[in-house]
Amino acid sequence: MTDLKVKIGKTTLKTPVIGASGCSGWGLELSKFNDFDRIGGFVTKSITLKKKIGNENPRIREVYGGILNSIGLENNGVEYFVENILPQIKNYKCAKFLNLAPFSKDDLFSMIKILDRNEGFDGYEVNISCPNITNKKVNFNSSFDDSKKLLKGVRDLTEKTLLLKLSPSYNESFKIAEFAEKEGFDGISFTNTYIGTLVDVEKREFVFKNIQAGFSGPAIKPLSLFNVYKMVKSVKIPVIGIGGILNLNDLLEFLIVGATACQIGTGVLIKPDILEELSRSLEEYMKEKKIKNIKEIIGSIKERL
Amino acid sequence: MIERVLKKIFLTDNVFLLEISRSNREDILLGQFASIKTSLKDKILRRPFTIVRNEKNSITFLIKVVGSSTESIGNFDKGDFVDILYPLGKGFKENLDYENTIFVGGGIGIAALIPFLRNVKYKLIFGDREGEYEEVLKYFSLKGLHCQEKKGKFKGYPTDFLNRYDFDTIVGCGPKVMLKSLKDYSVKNDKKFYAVYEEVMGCGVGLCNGCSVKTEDGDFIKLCTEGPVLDGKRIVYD
Repeated sequence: MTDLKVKIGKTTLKTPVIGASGCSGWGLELSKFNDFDRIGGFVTKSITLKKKIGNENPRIREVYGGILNSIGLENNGVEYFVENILPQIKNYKCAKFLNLAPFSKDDLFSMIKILDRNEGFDGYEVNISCPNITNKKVNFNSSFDDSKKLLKGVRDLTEKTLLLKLSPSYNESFKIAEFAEKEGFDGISFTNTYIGTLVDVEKREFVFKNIQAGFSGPAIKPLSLFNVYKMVKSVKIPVIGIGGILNLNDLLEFLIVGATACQIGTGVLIKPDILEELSRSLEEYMKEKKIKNIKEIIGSIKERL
Repeated sequence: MIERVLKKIFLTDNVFLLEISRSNREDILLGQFASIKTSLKDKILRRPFTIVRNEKNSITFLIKVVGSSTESIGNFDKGDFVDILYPLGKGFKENLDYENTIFVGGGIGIAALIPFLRNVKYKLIFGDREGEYEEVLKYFSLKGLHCQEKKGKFKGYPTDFLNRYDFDTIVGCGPKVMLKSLKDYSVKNDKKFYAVYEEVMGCGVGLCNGCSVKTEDGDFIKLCTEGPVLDGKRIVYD
């Protein structure tokens, strides 16, 4: 029997393959392409307390090695989610994490209080690393102090699995992760996209109205892989590796450096059935290599001293 | 899914027809599209194209080479494998009164109108800036007012010729500037206007909100799952 199961907080994932927030829609769209009984799970798009209009176009541009996005947390707010989306996804057989994007501590606490009254999902991924938030006051990830204030006490609000999603664009992320661990968070989702930009040479203008955008895709894989390795060294709670994973080899690299599970973002946009495909190919790989338990792969990197 | 190229013909220097096998038995509705993976290693996103024709065993696209992605698709040969997702989009389910509908196409936007014009009597204005679409019109036996920007019998933009027709509904596809004029005309003259809209897409299946289109009420609608045929008067063309 090949065992691909991993545990993060109270959540057991059937495989270590999760659809990343922003690229997995609300799960509804993904369900058409993947057998949810054969994948780890997915993280919803970001939910905000109130309805949030997204950014002006353009929102997405392909560049060498990846894509830049400036979506802007577009969603209908937490009440709408509870009433209209949760009932549709609650019976899905994979793990479901709700990505929460707070603009204040009140926002975050209110959202969790509202959501926690409901069943049908496994936990929260608190997102303080959206690349498209330019307002300094709500860019928690850029400040250790602001993040501390935001995250303090969150654990007391819920028994569900708590993840924190962090940006690779701020050095503070490592200290914030250590703090989250002390506060009782169950896992760190790392890395979000890298902050980048694009210039229209003809017009001599930035392509994105916000100037900055989030860069993802295969080009970031070596950067994220190293960041994930560093994060694994920084905290003892599980790290969920994210960054440019497009195939089995990429996935294995993240697991070998110590990621307990991985999220796939841009890969899902290219190939909406990639979560099931990667789960199956990981299982086949383990059978072929006679690896009985995924734990034999996770963190198995041989370090030369 | 994976299909195979059955036929590829360049109808003009840079507009080609691509017919591929159809193994997917799902119904294909008017206005639905497919997204095709190019053969380029450095282009990871798929590219969306209207399904111009669908037969029992094949689907057809009309594509203009505008950059390296479309160029690479133009390099597909008969028998090549095509990595493709289809049918995508909501499709168009309204009943059109063809007697009172004018179709307005601009450039390669004609591709999205072709499925509307099969086996029916229709009115069409086609704007062909450089006069390069003669062969395309011939291939699909399209009849209508064929205007060009600076020469020919009908000189001008498609919108210059609307007053020659009686209609209460416009279906348009083409450059944003043309769609914007059609919107202005429709608002002013109280016509219904359906725009077959285009936007850069991330996934094409509703996952990313990358292709959202701004509407008059300040909101956004996802083109890939709500379109590509939209209420043209609701869209903000900027």
